[in-house]
Amino acid sequence: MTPRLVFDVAAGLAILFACVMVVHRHPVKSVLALVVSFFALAVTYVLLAAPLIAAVQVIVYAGAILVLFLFVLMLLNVPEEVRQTPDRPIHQALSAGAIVAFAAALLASLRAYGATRAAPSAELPPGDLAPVARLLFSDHFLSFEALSILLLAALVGSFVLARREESP
Amino acid sequence: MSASDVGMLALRVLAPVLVILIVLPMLQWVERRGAGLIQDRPGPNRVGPFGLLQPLADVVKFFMKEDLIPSHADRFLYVLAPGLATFAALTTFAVIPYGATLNIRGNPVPLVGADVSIGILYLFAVTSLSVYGIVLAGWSSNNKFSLIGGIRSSAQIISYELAMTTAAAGVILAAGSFRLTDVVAMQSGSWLSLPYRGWTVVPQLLGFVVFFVSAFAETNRLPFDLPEAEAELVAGYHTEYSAMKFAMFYMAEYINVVVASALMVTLYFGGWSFPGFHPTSLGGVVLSVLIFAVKTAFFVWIFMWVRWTLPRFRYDQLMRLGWKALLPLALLNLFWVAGLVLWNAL
Amino acid sequence: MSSVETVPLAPAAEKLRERFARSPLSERVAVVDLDLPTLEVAPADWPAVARFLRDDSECAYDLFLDLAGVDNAKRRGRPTRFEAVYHLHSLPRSEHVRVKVILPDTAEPRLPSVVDVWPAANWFEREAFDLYGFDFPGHPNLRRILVHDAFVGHPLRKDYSPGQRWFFAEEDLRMPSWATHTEERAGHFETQTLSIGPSHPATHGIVHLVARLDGERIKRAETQIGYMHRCFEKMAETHTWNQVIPFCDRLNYVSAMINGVGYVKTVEKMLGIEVPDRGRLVRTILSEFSRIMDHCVDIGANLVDIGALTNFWYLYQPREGIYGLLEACCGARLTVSYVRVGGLAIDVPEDFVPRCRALLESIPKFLNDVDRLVTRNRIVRNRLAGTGVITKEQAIAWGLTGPVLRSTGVAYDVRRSRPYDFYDRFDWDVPVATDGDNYARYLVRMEEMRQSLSIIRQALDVFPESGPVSSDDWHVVLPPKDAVYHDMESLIFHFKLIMEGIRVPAGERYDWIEGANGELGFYAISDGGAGPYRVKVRPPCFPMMAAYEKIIIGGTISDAIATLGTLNIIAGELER
Repeated sequence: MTPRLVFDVAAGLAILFACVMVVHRHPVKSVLALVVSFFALAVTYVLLAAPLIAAVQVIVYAGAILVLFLFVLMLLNVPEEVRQTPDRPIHQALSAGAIVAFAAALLASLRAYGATRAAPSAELPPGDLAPVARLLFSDHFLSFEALSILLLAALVGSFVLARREESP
Repeated sequence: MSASDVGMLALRVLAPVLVILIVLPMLQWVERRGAGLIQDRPGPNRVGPFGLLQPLADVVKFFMKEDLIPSHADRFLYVLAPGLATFAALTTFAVIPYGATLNIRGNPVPLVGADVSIGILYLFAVTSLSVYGIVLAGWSSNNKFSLIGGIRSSAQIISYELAMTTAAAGVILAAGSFRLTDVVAMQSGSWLSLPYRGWTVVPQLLGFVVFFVSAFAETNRLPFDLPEAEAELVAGYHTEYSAMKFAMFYMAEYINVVVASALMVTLYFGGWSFPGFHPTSLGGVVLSVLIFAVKTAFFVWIFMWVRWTLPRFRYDQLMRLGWKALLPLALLNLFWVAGLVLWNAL
Repeated sequence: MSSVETVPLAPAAEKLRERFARSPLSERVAVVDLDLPTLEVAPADWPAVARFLRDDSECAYDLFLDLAGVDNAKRRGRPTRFEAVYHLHSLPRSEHVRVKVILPDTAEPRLPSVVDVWPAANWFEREAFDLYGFDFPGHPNLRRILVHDAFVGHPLRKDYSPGQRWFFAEEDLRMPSWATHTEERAGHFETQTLSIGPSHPATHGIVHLVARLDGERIKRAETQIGYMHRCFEKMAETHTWNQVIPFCDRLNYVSAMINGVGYVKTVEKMLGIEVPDRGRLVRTILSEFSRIMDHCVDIGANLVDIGALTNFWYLYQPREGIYGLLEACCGARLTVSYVRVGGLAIDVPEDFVPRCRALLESIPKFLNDVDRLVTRNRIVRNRLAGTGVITKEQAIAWGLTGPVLRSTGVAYDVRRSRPYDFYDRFDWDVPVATDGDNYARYLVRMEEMRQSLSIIRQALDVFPESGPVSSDDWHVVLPPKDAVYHDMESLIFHFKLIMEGIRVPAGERYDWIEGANGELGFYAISDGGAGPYRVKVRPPCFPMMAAYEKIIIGGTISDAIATLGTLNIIAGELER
């Protein structure tokens, strides 16, 4: 099995299950599709010689965040969505146009990016945490810390919102 | 890769899995006889001498039982869930080194399924997925008791995973590597030297305690068996399961107990190593595997012992313990270890 | 009704009349002197009388014990067909009183509800509605309780034919109205309705709890019982006095002996016969052993419910030993049927005393084991302390007795406050806790077992080596087989007893005993016939189960399960 073949399968699965996630009408099934998609993504990370990112992807996204999604969905016992009455043709046409335009923009930018930059995997020796950590805490120190403060603010904010609802 | 290499690899990977599958029914016997011993009663003693064939009878029973799928269940996920639970449990063992390095015709063969550079991360990634088996079982059964079991399980495992990972981070910090063989190598040196090269449990006792408690929560064993809490939730997430599907959850629980014990041994008790023991010959390597097995068995027994001694937490108390006690303690441990590493004591 | 007032009364009843003389109600109540001071009132006056009885400082009948309906259709000497008979107790003064509400002969017997005076009356009134068809205007939730909703008629009425069968289908199952519609409050989305039981591992019997959950917290709950109703009281009316004893064993089947003792004690008092000391001591010893057994089972099962299985096995060892003792005495283990009116079925075995002493030696070991494993265990304390809290006032208002009442700080134990048999001669304590939570109930039960051991020890010290265990009144007790074979008179007594049964003089009696769960009362009425005219049991579980749905509000499911365990609901006794 060549890496190329593995990549094709993994990338195909990722895209397929991402689509399933969007299309499926049952929220729990959507979450599960997303789990598979994330897994496939993790495989492509391994192929990019970034097993660390792959592991983090699985631990954080598949193992924690999506479990929380499930937790909330199960707690609320969200039922399967009922199909709405079909949209009007004009809406459908507009959506299709938007999708095509977005895909085109994405492809174009990817092409431009691929031409100018080499694969980033060269910077990271396989599985080594040290270079990642060095990058995070030196070059990108400010953005890293800013991000954590942003997350903290989001945490506090959600806490305040949840509290307010409970009091009356 | 030659044929013999492939064979060797298959043996390395499959040997521990096979051993676990063989040991599982025995574990069940030990648990039930142990329960009898603790509870002042005989335990199973009818099938074979000392009831030794009881597990065999149980396996036969599980195969012969009618396999029910409730009509209101989500069939696909209902069938998938027990497989997922067992699969996730079994694959964790791949990265745990279970013996010293074997020398075959000059080629060093480390006795570990896959000596990957992100060993610990792989382990946490897979265990974090094991929750899906339980959550999906709870949800797909379409039964309120199962659902509450699934909800409890998801929140519980995420909470304790955090404390567990943070505690393990202390060991990673000391070893400077995610590779579990490195972790064991770090612990097989001298207990008196500086930096310290003995078992991690000595400098990181706090981390071990946190890890130990979290391991009980991660494996859903008493006092943390809230997802199944039979008096409250009938049987929690596996209320609707029968026959082999139920047996698979049962197996997953025991495999998780073995893996958690093996992990504790690897991270904190030197893995296969023993002070003053440096295996070189084939006999030495076999001995190292035995040492590993004995250490692991000891912790498996503690799992059982605790189960028959302690009552169960309440959900909110469990959460409080996880977030307000274990997580801060794990962080404290991390700072302590960081200090030790900084001053070259580790 | 004032005609009876000219009859001279016993001191207790005279006092009651004096108290009423000061109130504006004096003209409207009649005080009768029976085994207990008894008031007779008309339905219209009943709420005012009830309030006076509860609130007057010299009455202070604060504990509602029992409500028994009586159908006088086949009984002479009563003015009307239906009566509602209440039994009350005054905790400050340690006195029982009986109130008879005489219902006028109308198509629908009706009397005002006193739920607002004694909340404990709630389920008792439902029971009277269910079994006798009494209507209680003002009752918050008057519907059937012991028989199912597809039942037609009122089974304890004398004109109800017991041969009829009513079938209960799934669609007849009644869910509380709040449980069937999905949202209580718009925008509050996290509630769901959970049905715990009728068959659930924690109900240890068959009880149905419908709970509305917010996450895991219980917002609202309702218990439904009746799954184990066996018409004990109807059956008692068609059997002879002694034939009722085996039915009594099935009330609280965990401590079967105590029920039998309570029942025969009532009948013996109606007959006015004395049981020899030896017989009474055997009853006391075995009753106390039964109490230990009951507490063992309760604590053991409760600990299983919170996940500590091992203690269950430890506590089953003493139980096994006690079963062995009971088996040696009478051949049966669970439902012993060992007592008879007038004494015991047979004498105790020769090794009775050494056997008891051996048990006294072995039981403390198991109790200590559990004590060490549980009492100071942090998880147990977290689970039990502060959950299922009942305040003193609530406990009294809800009519709770026994260990549950004592765990709230009320030292009410009928063995102490209304002593019977030898309890006033032994030296023992009434264990009391103050917190009223699950942990307090656990502690009280543990200590009660030790007190029971001490009572047994003292009873064994004064136990006569030999002597009769039964009365020698051959109108009541079968003469010895030897005499029956060789003596004409004994043969005749034997024949009469077997063929006709005991003749209990017409009258009524309420008598009490400290059951394992609290005050176990028997209210028996005889019309002079071969069997009881009416037997009403005052089951200690019944008010507890009624209070259960209130106690668990605000706690989690886990707390509710633990609370169910510490209340020690026994379905056999609850539903009779």
